[in-house]
Formats: sequence, C-alpha cells, structure tokens
Amino acid sequence: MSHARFDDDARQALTACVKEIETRTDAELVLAVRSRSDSYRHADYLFGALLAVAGLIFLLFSPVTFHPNWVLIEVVLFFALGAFLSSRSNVLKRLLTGKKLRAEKVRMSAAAMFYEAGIANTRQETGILVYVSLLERRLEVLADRGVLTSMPAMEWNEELFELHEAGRRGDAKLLEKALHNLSDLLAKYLPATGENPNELADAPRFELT
Amino acid sequence: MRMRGVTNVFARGITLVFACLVLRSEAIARVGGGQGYGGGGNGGDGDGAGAIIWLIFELIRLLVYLTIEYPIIGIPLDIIVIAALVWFFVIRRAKPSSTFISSTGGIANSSSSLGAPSKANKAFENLRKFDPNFSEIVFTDFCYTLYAKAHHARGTGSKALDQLSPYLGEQARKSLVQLNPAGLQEVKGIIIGGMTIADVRGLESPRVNISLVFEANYTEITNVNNKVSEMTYYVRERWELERNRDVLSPTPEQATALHCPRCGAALQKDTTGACAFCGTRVERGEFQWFVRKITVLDREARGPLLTSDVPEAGTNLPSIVQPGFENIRVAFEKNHANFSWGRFQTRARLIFDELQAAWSTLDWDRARPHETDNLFQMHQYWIDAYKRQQLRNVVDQCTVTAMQPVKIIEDAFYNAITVRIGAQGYDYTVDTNSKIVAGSKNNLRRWTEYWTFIRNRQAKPIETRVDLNCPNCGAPLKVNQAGVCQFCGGKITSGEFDWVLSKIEQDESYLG
Repeated sequence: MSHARFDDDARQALTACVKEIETRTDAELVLAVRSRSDSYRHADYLFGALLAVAGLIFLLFSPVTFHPNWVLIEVVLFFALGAFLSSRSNVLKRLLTGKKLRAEKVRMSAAAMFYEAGIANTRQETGILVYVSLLERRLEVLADRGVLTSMPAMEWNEELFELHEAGRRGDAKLLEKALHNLSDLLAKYLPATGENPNELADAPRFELT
Repeated sequence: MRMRGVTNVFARGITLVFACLVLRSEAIARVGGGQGYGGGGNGGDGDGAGAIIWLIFELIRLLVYLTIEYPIIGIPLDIIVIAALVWFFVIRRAKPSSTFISSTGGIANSSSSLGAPSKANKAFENLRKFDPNFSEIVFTDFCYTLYAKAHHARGTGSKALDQLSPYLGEQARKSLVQLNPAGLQEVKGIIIGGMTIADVRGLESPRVNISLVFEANYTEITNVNNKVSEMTYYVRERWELERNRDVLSPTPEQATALHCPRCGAALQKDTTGACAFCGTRVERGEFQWFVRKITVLDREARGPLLTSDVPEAGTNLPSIVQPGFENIRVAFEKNHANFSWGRFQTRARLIFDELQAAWSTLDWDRARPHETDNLFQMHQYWIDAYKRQQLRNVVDQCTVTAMQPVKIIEDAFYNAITVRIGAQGYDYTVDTNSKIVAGSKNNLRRWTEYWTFIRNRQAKPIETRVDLNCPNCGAPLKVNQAGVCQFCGGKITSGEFDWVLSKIEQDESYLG
C-alpha cells in the first residue's frame, strides 16, 4: 500500500465527503488515516538479527578468509543494516509480524482514538470512527450505541464489509465510495434533525509520516 | 587459522544436528513400522524426547565451548540465547490470554461445567456491547434451524449441502457428508434434544468463536439393492461457530431464513460458487455465524436411559437472583405500563399445569401453544424417546407451591422473565403394563426449576392472557405443529402476542 494513494487530491475528496456526511446526518463521523498503528520495532530487530545470522554464516563458510576481529563488528553492522531496512519497509514489517498482532494493534489504536478524541462521549451517542491503518491494510469502524441501534443489520453489515474491503486494498477512491454509501445509509436512518450540535471536528485526521 | 577452526566447530555442530534428525527419523520409522499402534506411538515419543534432550545438551556444550574457546562468537550467541529464553519464559507467558473463556477443557468438562452457562451469559453481555442486536433467543433459533437444514441437506446430497456454504465451512460440510451411509436417500425426523453453549471466546479479537454441543436424533433412510431401511440415531455433536465481532445480528426472521447473509436473497449460487444475486462468496462469517468445524462426539442407535432415579439437587438452595434485580424490575414495570405480575404469574401457572398434563399423557400437542418452537422440539425429543422405549413418565397431583421472579432481560428483540418455580407431585415412570420402572407413586417429590418466559418486544401492549384462548384473536386455543392459530393464522409460539415458555433450567445448572 502506498501513501501516494492518499495524495492531496484524495485527502481533499475525503475531507469533502466527511463534511457532506456531517450535513446529512446526526451521526458524528471522524475519519482517521494513519500510516501505521505501531512501530513494530521487534520486527526491525528480528530482521536485523536474521541478517546478522546470515552474515555470520557467510563469514564462517565463505571461501574468503576474514580476520576474526572484524567478525563482531560486521555482525553488528549487519544487524543495524537489517533493522534500518525493516524500519523503512512496510513489506518487511508485514512479513515479520503476525496478522493477529497487526489486527490487535490497529484495533487498540482505533479504540484509544475513539475514547481519547471524545467520539465515545457525544450527547446522543452518535459518534462513528472510521480508522484506516495503511501498513496493516486494515480498517476499523467503531460506532457508538446510538448509531448501532438505529441501523438495519443487513444494510449496516453491507457497508461495514465495503469499508473493510476499501481498508484492505488501501484505495482512497474505494474508501471515498464506501463513505458515500455509508453517508446514504446514515442519512436514511439517522437523518440530520438540526437539533444535534456538531460536537466533533469534521476534518479528517491524516497521519502519514 | 582460527576462523577455519571456528568453521570446523560449526560444521561439527551442524553435523550433530543432522545426526540428531537422522536418529530421530529412524526412531519414528522403526517404531511405527514394527509395532502396534499404541506401543509404537509411546516408543516413538520416548525416543523423540530423548533425542531432543540429547540435542539440547549438545547445543549447551557447544555454547560453552564457543564461549571459552572463541568468546568473540560465543558471548554474542550466549546473549541471543539468554534473550530468547527470557522472552519465551517471562514476556510471552506474562501476556494475557486472548481467550475470554477457557477453551482448554474437553467437551465433557465444558458442557457439563457449572460455570459454562454463567460465563456464556457474561460473554453474551459483552458481545452486546459490539452488537446491540445480539439476542440469545434469536441465536438459538438460528442454530436449531441451521442444524436441521444441514442434516436434511446431507441426506439430499453434497450439492444441497454446498448451497449452505455461506453458513457451513468446507471442513464442516465434509464432516457431515462423512456421516452418510451407502445408499442414503433422506435424513428425516431431525429433533434437537438440547443445545449447550460450551464456550465463547475471542471477544477481544475481531473474530468471535462459539462452541456448541447438540444432542439430537434423526432417522436415516437408505436404499441398498432396492431394500429400503430406516435407522434412528441419537447423536451428540460439537459445532464450532465463528463470526466477525462487529457486525450486527439480523432480525429473527432474517436470521432463521438462511438466505444469503450479505444481500438477503435466497441461497442460489452462480458458476463460481458466489451468490447469484450479489456475487459475493461468503466463506468466513463476514456477515453472520459460520460453522467452521463439526465433531461427532457420540452416534448410537440406542436412546437415552430413562429409568434411572435421579435425586433432586439444589431444591433447598436460595434462589439465584439477578444482581440489581429490584431496580431492573422497577424500570421494567415503568416501561411496560400494561404489565401485571399477578397476571403473569397466573399465566405461568396455567402453562405449568398444561405442560405437566401434556407430559404425563404423552399428548405433547397440548403443550404446543405454550412453548417456543425450540423448547417444544426439545421436549418432543424426550417424549419420542419415552415412546420408543414404551415408557411413560407421570407426574401425579402436581401443584405449584411457590413462584419467585429472579431475572429480567430485555434485548433488541425479546423481553425475557425468569421465575423460580417450586412444585411437588408423585413422579414415576411406567411401562406399557403400568408397572412402575422408576420413581414412586407413594413418595411425594418436591423440586424447583428456573423457567424463562419470553415475549417479543414488538408485541402489542395487551393484558397477559390467563385462559386457554388465543392471545391474538381470543378463539379457543387450537394451533398446528408450527404454532400457528388455526383461526387467525397468528404464530403464537414466537412470543409475538403473549408470554411463552422458552427455557427450563434445573437448580444444579442454573447460574443466573
């Protein structure tokens, strides 16, 4: 997944989409797009260690003779190089981490944001967080009780499925389309009454560093 | 050259590991090939364990050797090994388990475990935080329907079973097909005697898993060499279900229809195996519960033992009352102005009397208007078991001695009230010659049970009926096997009009 897919145009389109949702419904939607939900430092160290071991084996079995004093330094260098490469590569991080762990990290980050950003404390319990984590290729939707009890199950599950698919593919266009569909659903079953104050900032949160 | 020396040491180490593996595989081959199944297995395990211990010992020796002779290699390796050991034994073990309810117990343990129902209730309460639509009643209905349809489908052929693929995984379908005897024509008379929620886990993860144990019977009709024969089986099966945690449970009608869980259209597949209407292949419980695995625990042609005298347990124990029951009761009364405890208890007594009369006479149709479909089916299972063994269980002079409300639950679709009923009577079992084969005509038996009545939340707010008339049209109660009033066509056994009995739990198994 490339951050390029969430370029300026895509961000503007998503911002407009969220604003539109806010005008059509009483639901308070917050969109967050993050590059990753954890540093996965252990994956960097693991790759560093693997490279160090591979380097050590090379040093030991290579027909070229190396001076023993260099071995430790070279092994450490291999480790540092591996850790650095992994820290720069989403692919390596994905390869060296379990799916379950990645899902857990995304879920925890989304849950933390749901509470810390006050989405869980809206007056009519109508907060929704759509949280996209690009490295993990996952999307989490956390909706407050007021939303869940207003939605028909089949249609809600359908929108949820589409959103998850968009998150899995990391495609901003797909996400925008899924959000539009969600907007229609929310407008139908939780329409704007004009009585519910806008309690949360409308601007999506992009953390793509 | 020192490095060559080190190379030799490593080469020795690798040779050692290789030798170890060779020895291990030789041990397995020899034992497995030369001895009986049980002995071979044990022998192999012993040799395997010995080889592993020997390998560990040799690796430690190698590490010590490297540390002393070649510290530049040995010490970093020591650090790595120690760090790995610390990580494995301290950090990894300290991590909390993601299992909500322990799944380590075997089926006998978990299904009969006293803690299981209570834990399941708590787990369901937690699940409702993510899925406010979740209703245990609807879930039970769904499972009963799926069980019956799955067994019926396997009798029709594997293609019919494949139609249920959005609800039954490949492994589950294979397990069902494996049950089919040669020449199977049909599976009929599928009656579920009980469904136990053995385990609920995964509430901290995106996937929730539920283990169920079904106790059921069915009849298989086979045709071999133009000879048609029937065989009735009593079975216990463990079903492992899973679902995405965050989806919303569908309405009772949608849940039991077993249509495409995504679009709601009838189950019909295109050439790729996807839904012919929405084009989705639902194969992992993305929208609705999905059976991953089925394990047959018992399958016998013999019915359950019905002539044992089981003493009452827990009759004198205090009632288990829902925490905060008084407040819940006040809130319930406030929200349901038409509700009257007096009328409710009168109706509960009426149902109790009707059920006892129906049971003692084996005229179970009399009980039909008062029980949900699942409970009626469960009782039908036992009635059939008595009939097949030419026995009849009688409860003479049965009277209710006490009734205490203990629990009120309001979910998205149903209201449920549990009362503890105290009763007494002469409980005995007779054969076709009226000879008593269990129980006693002379010893008065006292017992208590927890009875749960349900009513649909969409039901009209009318007064609870306390006579034997249809709660919808008022005509004398006459319903068909589906629980539909023959006069007005209203389905009165789903709680759409009035309270019906949904569950009976014994003192020893009820935990609130």
